[in-house]
Amino acid sequence: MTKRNLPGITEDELNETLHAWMDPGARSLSEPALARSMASVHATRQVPAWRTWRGMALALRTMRFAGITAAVVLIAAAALVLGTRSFRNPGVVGAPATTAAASPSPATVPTPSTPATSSPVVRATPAVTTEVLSGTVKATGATYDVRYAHVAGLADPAAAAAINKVLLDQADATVRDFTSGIGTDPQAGPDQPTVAQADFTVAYGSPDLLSLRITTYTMPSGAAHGSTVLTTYTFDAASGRRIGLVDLFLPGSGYMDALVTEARAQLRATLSDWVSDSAGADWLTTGTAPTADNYAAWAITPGGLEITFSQYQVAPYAAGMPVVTIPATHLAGLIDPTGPLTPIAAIPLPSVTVTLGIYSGRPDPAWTLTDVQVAALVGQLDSLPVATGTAPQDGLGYHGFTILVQRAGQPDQGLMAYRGAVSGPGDAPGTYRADAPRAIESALLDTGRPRLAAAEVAMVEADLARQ
Amino acid sequence: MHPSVVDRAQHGDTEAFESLAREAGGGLMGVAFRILRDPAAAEDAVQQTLVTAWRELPGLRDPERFDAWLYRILVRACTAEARRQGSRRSAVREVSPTALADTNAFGRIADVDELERGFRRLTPDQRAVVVLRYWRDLRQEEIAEVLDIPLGTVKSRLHHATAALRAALEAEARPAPIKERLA
Repeated sequence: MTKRNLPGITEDELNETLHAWMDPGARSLSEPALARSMASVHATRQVPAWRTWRGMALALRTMRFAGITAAVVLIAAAALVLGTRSFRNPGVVGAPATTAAASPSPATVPTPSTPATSSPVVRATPAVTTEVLSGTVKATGATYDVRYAHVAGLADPAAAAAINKVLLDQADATVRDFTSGIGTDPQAGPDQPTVAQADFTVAYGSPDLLSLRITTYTMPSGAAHGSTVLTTYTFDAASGRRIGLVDLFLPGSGYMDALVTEARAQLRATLSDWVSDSAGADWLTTGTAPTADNYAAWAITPGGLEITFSQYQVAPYAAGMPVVTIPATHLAGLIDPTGPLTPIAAIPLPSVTVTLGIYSGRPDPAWTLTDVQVAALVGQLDSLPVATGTAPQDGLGYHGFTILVQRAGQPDQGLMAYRGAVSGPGDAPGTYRADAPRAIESALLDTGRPRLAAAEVAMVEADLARQ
Repeated sequence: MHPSVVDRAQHGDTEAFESLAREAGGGLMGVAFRILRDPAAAEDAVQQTLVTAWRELPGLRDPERFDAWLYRILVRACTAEARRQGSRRSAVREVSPTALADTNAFGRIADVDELERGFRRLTPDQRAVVVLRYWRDLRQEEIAEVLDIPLGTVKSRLHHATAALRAALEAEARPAPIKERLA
C-alpha cells in the first residue's frame, strides 16, 4: 500500500526518487589517486595500539586496578598527544599551469624591487626567449605543448650553451615521458583530451644569476583533476653551473632550521583553514620537515628566497601549491657572503602601502605590508609578463589596488593592480604587466583581510570571481 | 573484507592495506562524491581517509568491523572537507550527466535540479545519513553503527533531511498560483 504523507508526493515516491537520484554513475577511485594515497601510506607511521585512545582507555582501567597514580596516566597521555605522528602526502597534482605566450621581458619594466640605481641587477641580460615543443600523439589524439627557456646574451657563450642544454633536456624529458606514458592512454578522446603543457617564468635574471620556475601540467583522460609539477633551476650565469640550495649558505650554518621555522610560520598563517586540526597540523609539519626533498622547489627572486610546496605536500589539493618567500635579510648571518643571495640581502626591501579603491567621496581603506608580504609581492611583480595594449580602466565600486612603493632616497612609485593588469608610470607606452589569474589582486586582498570590513572583502571577491 | 587481511595490515603490511584500499576505494569514492558533490574534493576526502585509516589501524580491535570503521573515518573527512569548501571554495560542482539525462527515472515528481539544490542545503551530517540510507542501502541501525551516533539521532537527521528534500520537490511540483495561471 502506498503511504501518502503530503499531497502530491507519497512516501514511496520520495524513496524511489532518492534511490534513483543517488544511483546513476558508479564512482571509482582512480589509479593515480590510489597511488598517491599509497605513497602517503608508505610515508606514514602507524600509531601503536597502546597509543590509541582505545589503548589508553584499556591501560587506564589496568592502572586504576593496580593503583598507579594519575600522574603516570597524564604522562602517558602527553606522550600520545605529543608523540611523532607522520602524515605525509607527497603527491604533485595541481591546477593547470598559467601559460604565457612569451617569456617575461622585465628589461623594460622597472619594479619596486629594482631601484633605478645601485641595483646589481642589470635587467638587459641575460636575454631569455621562449622555445616550443608541441605535437599530437596520433594514436590517441593526446596533445603536448612544452614551452621552455632559451638563454642568450651571456658574457660567456659556453655558459649559455650549458644552461640551454639543461633546459632543453628537461623539455625533451617532459615530452618523452608524456608520449610514452599517459599520452598513450587508449581512453583519451576528443571529449576528454589528454594533455601536457609546460611553461616557465623568470624569477630572477642578472649577468651573474638566472633563476627559473618551470611548471608542467598533465591532464590524464578521465582524471578528476590534472597534475602540476613545479621544477626550479638556478644557474650561475657566468659559468653556466647549476646552483644548489646548499650553495647559498655558509657551511655549518644550520640554514635548514631557519628555512623550516620561516616556512612553518608563513604556512600556518596562510593555510589556517587546513591546519586547525591535528591531522592538518601533522600534514604541514611533515611536509616542511628539514629534508632536501621538501625544499627542492626553490628560486631566488628580488624579494629573497622563494620556496614552493607541491600539491598535497603540506595541505590538501584545494590549498594549491603554497609559496613562501623568505626575505633575504631574514637569513643574514647564514648566507654565503660570496653567494648569490648576498647582493639581494644588501638591498633593503621597500616600504609598501596598499590602498583598496572601493569608495567615492570617502577615504579608501589602506594598510602597510609586512616585510614578508613585501618580499612575496616583489617576487610576484617581477615575474609578470609584459602585454601590449591598454590596462583596464577604473570602474564603479571596486576599482583596483594602488601599490605605493617607497624607498629611502628615491622618488615614490605607484602601481595599479586591476582586472588582471598591473600598470605604472615605468611601463613602456602601450604596455602593462599581465596577471591573468589575478594573483596579485588576490594576494593583496589577503593581506588586507584582517582590516577590511566583510562587505568590502565581498565586493572584491565578487569582482575577482569574474576572471 | 577478509579479517586476516585487515589483521596483516594492522601489523604494518602495506600490501595488505593496499588490497583493502583497492577493494573499498569505489565505495568510498561513491559516498564521498555524493556527500560533497565535487569529484576533486571527494578524492581528497578518500585520500585523507585512507591515510588516517592506515595510521590508526592498529587501534581497531575487531577486524570484522573494518568496513563500518572505515566509513566512519570517511564521513568525518567529508565533513571536514565540506567545512573547508564552505569557507574557501566557489568552484563549479559536477552534476551527474546521467542523472540529468535520465529524468524518466524520477517519474512525474522529480526534478534533478531542485533535488540537487535541496541536497546542497543540507548539513554534511544530514547528507551523510541520506547517502548511507539511499545509496549504500544501510538500515538505520547500521547507519548508527557506522557514524557512531545514537539511533535516535540517525532518525532525526534522516527525518529533517528527507523533509527538506521533499519540500524542495514539492516546491517544484506545486502548481503556479491562480493569478499566474490566468496571466
